[in-house]
Amino acid sequence: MSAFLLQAETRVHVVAIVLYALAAMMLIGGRFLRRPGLVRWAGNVVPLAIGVHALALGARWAGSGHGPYVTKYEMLSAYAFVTAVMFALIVYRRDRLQVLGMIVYPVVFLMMALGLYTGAEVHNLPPTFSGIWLVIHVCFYVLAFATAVIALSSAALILRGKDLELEATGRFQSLESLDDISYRFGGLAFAFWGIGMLTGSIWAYYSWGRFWGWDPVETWSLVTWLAFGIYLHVRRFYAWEGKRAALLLIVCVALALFSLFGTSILSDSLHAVYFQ
Amino acid sequence: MLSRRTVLLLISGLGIAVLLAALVPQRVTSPDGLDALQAKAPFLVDALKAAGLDHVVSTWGFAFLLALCWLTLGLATLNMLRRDYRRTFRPRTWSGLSGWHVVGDRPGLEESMAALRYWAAGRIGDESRFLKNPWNLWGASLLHLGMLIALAFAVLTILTTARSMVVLVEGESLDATTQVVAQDYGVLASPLSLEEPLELASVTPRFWDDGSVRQLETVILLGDSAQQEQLTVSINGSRVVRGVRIYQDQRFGYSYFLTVAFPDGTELMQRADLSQPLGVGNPTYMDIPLQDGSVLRLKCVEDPGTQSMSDEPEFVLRRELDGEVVAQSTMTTDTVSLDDVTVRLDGRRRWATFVLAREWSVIPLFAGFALVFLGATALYVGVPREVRLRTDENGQTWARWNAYRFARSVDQERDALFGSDEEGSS
Repeated sequence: MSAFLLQAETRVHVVAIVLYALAAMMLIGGRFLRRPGLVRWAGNVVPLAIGVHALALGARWAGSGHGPYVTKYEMLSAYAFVTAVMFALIVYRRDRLQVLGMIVYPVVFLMMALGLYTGAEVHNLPPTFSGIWLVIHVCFYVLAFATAVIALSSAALILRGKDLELEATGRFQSLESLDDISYRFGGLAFAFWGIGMLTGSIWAYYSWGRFWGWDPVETWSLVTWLAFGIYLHVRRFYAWEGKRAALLLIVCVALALFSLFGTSILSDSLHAVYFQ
Repeated sequence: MLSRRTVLLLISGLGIAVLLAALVPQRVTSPDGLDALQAKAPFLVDALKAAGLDHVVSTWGFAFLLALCWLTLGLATLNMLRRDYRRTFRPRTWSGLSGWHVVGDRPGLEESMAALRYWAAGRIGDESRFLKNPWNLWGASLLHLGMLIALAFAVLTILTTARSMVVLVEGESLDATTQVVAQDYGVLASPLSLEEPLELASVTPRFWDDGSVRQLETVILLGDSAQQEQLTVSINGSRVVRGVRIYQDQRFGYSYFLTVAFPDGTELMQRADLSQPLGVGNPTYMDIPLQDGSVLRLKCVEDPGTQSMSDEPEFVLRRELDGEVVAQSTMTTDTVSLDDVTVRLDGRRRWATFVLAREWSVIPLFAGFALVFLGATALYVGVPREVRLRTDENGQTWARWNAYRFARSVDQERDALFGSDEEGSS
């Protein structure tokens, strides 16, 4: 049964990738070709993609016997899923923000495709992977990533400037309010990232007997958090906005990506045993 | 202390210090990396050591920077709390400010505001006050207060931590009042000692099919033999005994109690602690130098035919002299001969490693991140806004709308209430 579920999961995962890619193409094509019908269809495809993706994650969970937080494949899929769901909820409340999907959906399907490239094999759960603090720690990092991607999407559109606004977003969203979205989601990413670190330190305390050990993963995580802190303070204190703030946010998100997916492969990290 | 430049300089300074700790191999976390760099560029390592960059986070400079950050954070939090209290409970009138709109239909406006979930919050002078999401005003204060508490707790933990690692073999015990030599010792930490004897009764590992550890459970007996309390500890399943938390470390294996008999009649008694081989292709080794100049090399290996990792692994002994193998044998009986040396196995038991640490409540840390969460949600999710209404001496009603932050995100609401253009100001 497990083997069947895992085999089916990989196929369903690919279907979800295709659906997200289709939604991204419809959205981008609809905006630039001025075909509102395509944009509407993109909005219909996304819930289907999320449903299929949820099915894949459920099959993976049932087949492997543990949540999607052990291998890179599972992590990338879980991060992509939460990003897609969070964005769908935001668009449901404020459909003017659908324009951000031009960045969010490609990020989502590229992450899932990258997951396939890293290998879909199931790894056994290390003995330290248990407890409520691990769940909270993982959840907050996933939330931090999802909010950072949405902030990044706004920043990327701000960098494209007025042309894009006129062609594609003018009717839906002004650059000024995109700037606010980028600021607010950057702030949420900062807070969720900080909570992820704090809960991670409690998990480390119960697993390894210490809160903080200056492991490369922990150190880069702190660097990322401080970078987000600098971003928020220059916005608040010096009223940075527009392209300048967007560029700084992109640097912060790049650091976040490195902290999440780059540092865990460093051989001298205590975390190297995970995310294989 | 609280100038914008100071705050940014302190955060940046902290960021640069942590970045240096991430990029330069550190003495404690990456000794191999530092050794490798020493071999390649000894002058560079000397310079790094002279500047304290091989142990950035344990330098006095870093501690000073952290203290300054905490102080600044504390002062900023205090200022924000006072500001938010004043805004919420002791607001000033807005009469002198610009941006007032003429209101034609006051009952209609109040109805629209009620529909948009503005609620009447009393009067200040001659102004009626209407609020939406007022508690979101406290977002920045709560966020900073949470960070302040978490950082204070972190520093307190570092200063008072006493933590040690202990290796025990099944049947071995630590006596009461044993003062465990602490490896990590905070400046304000008191000695870590046991109040009653602690004996390791059993070590039970469980494995996955690929040989990796699934769980490791140990049974510990506390107290003297007349009245012993049994305690089960596992990885990620620590237990607290009178203020000392006992953690199950992931390292464990077999202790072999050996007696090596030499041709001249002398004997060497040796306990060899070998780590558990994790899978068939991952043997573990230990070398014992012998008095005749040869080396007794011990190997603990899982037999390829092993059905279960819980089976006892093979114990292989090899005697080497000047790098040449003199003799080799697998210990299948109590005694084996390695050329003119005889090795007797007196016993075999499992060993396990524990971390003992003084227990600290995680409640302050939990409270810290709960406040960070509440604060961030209040700060970045909801936009607090306020409307004031006042009637002038001619009977004309005026209204002024204010969003305390992210006004551009909610300007459509202002436009819905008052129209996109200001109709006038007083």
